[in-house]
Amino acid sequence: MAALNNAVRHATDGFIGILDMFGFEEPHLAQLEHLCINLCAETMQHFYNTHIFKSSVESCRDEGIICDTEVDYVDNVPCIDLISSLRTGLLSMLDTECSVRGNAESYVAKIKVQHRSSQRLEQPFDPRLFTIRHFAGRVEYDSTDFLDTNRDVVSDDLVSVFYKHTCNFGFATHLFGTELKALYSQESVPRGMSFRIAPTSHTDLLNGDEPVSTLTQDFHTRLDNLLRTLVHARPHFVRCIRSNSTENPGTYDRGTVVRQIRALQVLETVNLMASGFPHRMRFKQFTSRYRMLAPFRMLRRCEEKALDDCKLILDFAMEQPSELDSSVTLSWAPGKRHIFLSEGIRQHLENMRTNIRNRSAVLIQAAYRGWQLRRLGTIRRTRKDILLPSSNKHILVNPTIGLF
Amino acid sequence: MTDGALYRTKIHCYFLDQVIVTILFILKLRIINVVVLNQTRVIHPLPNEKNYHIFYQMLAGLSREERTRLNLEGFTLTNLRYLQNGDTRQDEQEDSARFQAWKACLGILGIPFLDVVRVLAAVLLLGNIQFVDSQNLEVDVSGESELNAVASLLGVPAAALFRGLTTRTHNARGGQLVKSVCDANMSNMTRDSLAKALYCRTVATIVRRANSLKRFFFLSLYVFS
Repeated sequence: MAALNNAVRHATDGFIGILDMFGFEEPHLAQLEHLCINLCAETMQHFYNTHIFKSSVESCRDEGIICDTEVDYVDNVPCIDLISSLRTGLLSMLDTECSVRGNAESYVAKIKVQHRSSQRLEQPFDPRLFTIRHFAGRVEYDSTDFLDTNRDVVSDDLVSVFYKHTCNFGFATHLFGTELKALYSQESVPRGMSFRIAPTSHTDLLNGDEPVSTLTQDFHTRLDNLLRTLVHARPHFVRCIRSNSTENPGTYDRGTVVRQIRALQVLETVNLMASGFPHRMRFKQFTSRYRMLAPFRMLRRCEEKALDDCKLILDFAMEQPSELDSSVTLSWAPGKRHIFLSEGIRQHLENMRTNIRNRSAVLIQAAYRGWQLRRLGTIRRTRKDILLPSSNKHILVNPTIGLF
Repeated sequence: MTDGALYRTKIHCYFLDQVIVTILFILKLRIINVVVLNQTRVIHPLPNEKNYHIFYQMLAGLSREERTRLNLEGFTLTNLRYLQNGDTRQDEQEDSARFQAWKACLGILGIPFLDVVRVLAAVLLLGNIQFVDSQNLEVDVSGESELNAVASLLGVPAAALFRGLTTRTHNARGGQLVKSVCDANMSNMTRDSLAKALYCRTVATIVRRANSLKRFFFLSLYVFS
């Protein structure tokens, strides 16, 4: 919430997005929607890995920094490819099976052949079931309804019932508005068309008599759009861990919690934050943000000496006691174009920056108020001097106090 | 509303589960909600799971008069087929309160509460319409009163609804249109697809309305989880 409010305060353009999504699902016999949900979870995990671990390790390497933390994370690209790769992924093969009007058994047989050497797909014994080893656990999927769910269609025989000629409930007619318009654009109704159950935003509803896209295609498009948005944003991650897998309140199941922590790589993240260099800033960016931490006269403040200024600022910062726990390391390293900071030193720098800004604000206000009061005091004293001569000669008037 | 008002407003975060992906964008003063639904959950919640919460809240929160008008008299969590196989535990008071809150939300959005609740009641009752194969190669319906109830809620003649669920027009070769009668299995599947369509399109309508408002409105999507 603090990060959110902070972002809102400084937002002038663009947007703040909250992505709240269902995490990994492992029901007893999972359906197609669960496969989509789990693909989403895998994709987000991959995004997290890339953002937190990979980019950190790679940028260190690019700029010649030696990072002594061993960042060991699990790469889940094989699983994502298994499900979503073009042509040979499970979802693509499902689309193909739908278009040839196949069935669940032949679908499973085909994926068995295509992915026989995959470590992530466990070879099914049942002709309709298959198991995938996701990053967070094994899930068994039942493909019986996969094809129908994917096609996701409703006939025009049914949709036509809601046309205004037969339906006097405007809201219901409105629900099928787009489809009814397309349907009644010709005289012959019904005529064997199929529409998508889910309302689509396509302007073209149909490709001939069939809907333009399947359920998984729509899902995939949305996922891609989401990723594209995330890649350009500055994400903050919030990890939610459930205390037990049976939705019982007040129950803490150690096994469930440990499994999630392992799958989400929380420990690796903490290690990276604690001693690696998760943050990097260009020299100029660094100096313009933190230059107040070093004496003004000592800063060079020119482009070529930006790195020197960074070092100067950091030296001064390191001399100040930090408000953080003593176990948190404050370390930094200069790269070719970026200065690399540990999480500890970034927090320290931010704390110092906030303190100096607050102190400066108070100083400015105090100076102004003092000046204002003194100005008003002078005006009052001038008036008193004019009045005084008519009073008692023995009274000593002290102009600076402004009494009487 | 000015920018100042935006960050003085409390931003409520409701946790949404059972929705595949929800992306909420706060674009200066607007919120754009994007919701992708798990449709199968409407007709077939998993044994430990609940169906969408709005159904439970509705059953707890409707007044007796409203129930009768919606043809839901005598129906509970345990005899509605779309709900009975899932988790049927319920805190009635909490659900009833949440229902009233949701009703108020709809009022703010300017969406007629009765319209939405009619559709939701129709979805629930659809589950109790069962088609069975009959001797003369046609289908019979078990649950005729439910069929009539659904038809009346949706403002269509019961016969038309029956036909819509049980017949299929095909485009045969040569451009001929052929009508055939579906078997019970197919008719039941068509019934399910109607339930899914009604539910997700209703949600989409509400979300679209919320997004079109200029005011800072954070849709309480909790009920759709």
